[in-house]
Amino acid sequence: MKKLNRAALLASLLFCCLFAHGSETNYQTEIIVEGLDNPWSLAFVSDREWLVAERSGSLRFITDGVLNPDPVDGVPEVLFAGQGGLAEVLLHPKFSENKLIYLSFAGADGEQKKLNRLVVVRGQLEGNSLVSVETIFGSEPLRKTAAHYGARIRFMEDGTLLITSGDGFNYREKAQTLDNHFGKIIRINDDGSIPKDNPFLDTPGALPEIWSFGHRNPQGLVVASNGTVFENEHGPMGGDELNIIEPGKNYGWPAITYGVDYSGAIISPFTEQPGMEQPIKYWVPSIAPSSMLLYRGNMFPQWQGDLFISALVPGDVRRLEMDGQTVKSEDILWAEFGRIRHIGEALDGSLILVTDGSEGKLVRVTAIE
Amino acid sequence: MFRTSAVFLISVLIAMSCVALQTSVSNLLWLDSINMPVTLSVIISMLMSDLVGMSAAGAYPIIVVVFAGLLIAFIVAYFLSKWMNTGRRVLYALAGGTALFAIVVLMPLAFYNLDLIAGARTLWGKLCLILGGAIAGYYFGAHLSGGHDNEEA
Repeated sequence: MKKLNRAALLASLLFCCLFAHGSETNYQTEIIVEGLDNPWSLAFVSDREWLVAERSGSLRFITDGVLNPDPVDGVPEVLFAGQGGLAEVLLHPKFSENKLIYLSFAGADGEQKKLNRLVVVRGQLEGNSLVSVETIFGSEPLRKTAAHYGARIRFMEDGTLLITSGDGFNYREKAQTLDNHFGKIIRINDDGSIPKDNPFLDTPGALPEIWSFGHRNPQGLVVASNGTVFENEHGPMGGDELNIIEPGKNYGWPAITYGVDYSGAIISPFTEQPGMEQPIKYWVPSIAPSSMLLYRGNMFPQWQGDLFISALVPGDVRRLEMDGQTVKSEDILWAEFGRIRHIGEALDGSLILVTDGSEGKLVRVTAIE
Repeated sequence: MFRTSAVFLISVLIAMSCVALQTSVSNLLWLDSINMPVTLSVIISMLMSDLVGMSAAGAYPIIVVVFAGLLIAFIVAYFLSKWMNTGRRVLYALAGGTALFAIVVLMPLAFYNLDLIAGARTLWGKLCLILGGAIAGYYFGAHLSGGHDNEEA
């Protein structure tokens, strides 16, 4: 009987080893750029040319892996304070034709300098300059805090633009009302006009650009090719969420939450409520999810369709294997680089990690042949 | 010295209780205003959780901030009492109120205007918390041994 048990144990171990080997992905990581000042996002203009947005206010080209010391001219002045500054850089879907890029940032108000807002502009890239810059969105009302901007922007398949707008930290209750931009996902056309099919167009008192509400600080946004919108947002102490966003829906913050306040106080004792959406996954304790990617490349075919979430705490990347709209499993990757601010997919399918802070780096993840 | 320390710790607990109570009440009032099912058991459980949570479970220890704030304010009040003719209870009440004023009004200025105590985000909330500090200071002044209270003289 003992021999039989031992044989069964050995067989199980062998099976586990084989399975682990089969599911393993061979990759290598390489630091390719250093010396970035609080990098926040990355856009791939071509195989050779990338744009990196630094929170301190600079937009800079990286050409063939070399950082251009001269930032792009014409980028508007940003409020670099707290969590504020230059955030997203995004190419228009028809960038090759129109050279339009979109930037999100915290901007001080022109008249009341102590107040600020989330701003989205677009402009045309001409060489190392941004020209014809126009503001297409400014959050209302103004805020006095320099935190929780959201600031992630993504194009939908229909050419409209989604903008995540955070709750401003001090204004969390406003995420539940529709007369302001705190804690909302905004949907506008690429020129800033309002799409005719937004969900609150006919709701009295509601701002027509609101697409969903009840968010805290959403910094990850992905639009799948089938139209599914995945969003991740920072919770308070615990309660980071991965949501599937649908127009007009209420995602609950701060009426329902799986987290508590940083002070240790209960924000809400409720985690569910009719009429409020549940996350498809949440994290307690927090991982501080900073950006999200849906992998579509060919370099890692086994990862196609997986979500990658960069995390600031403790600093790693979460690979979520998806089964449609359900998370099947979670892997923790690349925990050796510290806080990861952004994850992007280069045009060749390699993954680019952007580390956080005043000595930011780009780390390239490539497959080993 | 032992009595003074005990009275000081009780005054810290009074101030913390006010902070926790004000935070719970402001959250509960808002939840009730949007028709969340706020029942008596929810109220009791939240009051207790906040008292414990804000004292021991936060990412930053509010109780340490309150402790330090009151300690500095009471030491200053002690020296002021040497040459001021103001009653001890009033003096320490003012000191306690000033400590909480510093915590809920001045401290956020160092954190990009973030109100780290959620209950302090409104003017009403700030006033309540400053009053809580004053009550703690009044208790400290009333129970302090040695010297004399001009109000009682």
